[in-house]
Amino acid sequence: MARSDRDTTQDFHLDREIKKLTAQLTKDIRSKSEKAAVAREYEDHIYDAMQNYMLGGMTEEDAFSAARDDLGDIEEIAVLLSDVHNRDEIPEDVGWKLDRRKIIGIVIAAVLVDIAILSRNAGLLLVLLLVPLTALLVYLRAMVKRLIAIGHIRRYAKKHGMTCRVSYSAFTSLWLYADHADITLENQQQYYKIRFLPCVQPKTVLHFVGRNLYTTTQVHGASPIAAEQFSAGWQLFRPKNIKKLSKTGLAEISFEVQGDLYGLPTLERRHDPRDKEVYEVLIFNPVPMRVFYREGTTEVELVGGEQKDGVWLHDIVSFESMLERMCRL
Amino acid sequence: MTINKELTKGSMALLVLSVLAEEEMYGYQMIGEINRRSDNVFRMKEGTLYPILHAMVAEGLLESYDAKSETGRDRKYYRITATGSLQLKLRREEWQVFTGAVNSVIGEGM
Repeated sequence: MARSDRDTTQDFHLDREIKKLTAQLTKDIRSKSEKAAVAREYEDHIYDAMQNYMLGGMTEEDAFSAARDDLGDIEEIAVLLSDVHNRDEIPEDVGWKLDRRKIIGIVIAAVLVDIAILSRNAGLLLVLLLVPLTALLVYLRAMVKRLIAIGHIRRYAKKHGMTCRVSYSAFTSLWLYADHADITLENQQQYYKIRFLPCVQPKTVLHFVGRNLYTTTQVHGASPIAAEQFSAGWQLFRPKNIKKLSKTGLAEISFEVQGDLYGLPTLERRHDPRDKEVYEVLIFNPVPMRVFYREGTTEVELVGGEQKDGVWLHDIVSFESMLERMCRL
Repeated sequence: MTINKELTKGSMALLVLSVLAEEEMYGYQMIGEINRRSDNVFRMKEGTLYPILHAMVAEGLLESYDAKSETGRDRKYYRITATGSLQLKLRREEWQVFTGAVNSVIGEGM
């Protein structure tokens, strides 16, 4: 059953069946090169399995059938492969859709402020100023939380004789995702790089595409959560409303929580016992961050905490416990 | 006896890391090894292994490379990374705590 043997014998039908099967398995993988590589891997797997069955006396056709059955539900595997291989594909129209809303909002606000100033209507001006003032208050509260977290990390560094450098992005990343380290902790033996995730969002809307829900979420959340209510870990919510936007393939999901939100909500799809799809919102609290350490000359991401979208997220508690574990290794 | 699919699913990454910690393997070989070591208790739907392996590569726990197998055929081999080794240690610890706790609970009624 080596590939070269097969090519010289009358196996045209088998080849076709295998191609058909691997095409079904990889149908949702968008990258052509990844699709080909995955198809090749499954193809090799099927030949291996067939070889075993044929050594046991099966015909080629029966062996193929048995190997295919051993794979499991082809549709289910196709979905799993799609989820893994289509990660990090945030469609451009999502970003534009959100930016468009912001631009329209800013233009309307500017016009209203102009009207208030020109008409010398102090009452209206005051009401209009309340909006940015409220936003500022939300930001300041988030900033206080962030300062507490940084203080905690500084104390930890001092206790363990490590140099702690805090970048300005530790604060700007309240709004924007920073590509570089927010904080670095270092001594002669150890090096850690901490990257905070944005944790102030203005609206309770999630956007996602098709089936790859937890790979393309983009959050605009302003859902408040009481910090003391969720001391650590993921908190799970059922969305109140899912509105599918058929033209764009996107959907808007609304959910309501109480208190201040200091986490990055993520959407997750699962199946309930009746095999119906259920969508859930997961919220990590508080101050989620990614942590890297240096191994030789390369940086390695610290694993542990909670994993979402192929990324390990740590809160302060899990970060400390990871450092303690690392020291013991 | 085979085990409930949901129970197996949660421990697949640990099983994969454990077998790869000893030897670099390709997918079909890994399935055979896990089946052999577990006396077929973990007999899985074989096609679901690859999405798990690919996700673990994306997470930096494993690396893959193409090489010829002992039969001379090209294969995609997987090996554990330094991060994967660390993760294996942590998961083993978690597993010990978890199984200990479950045994303590179910042992009371036995």
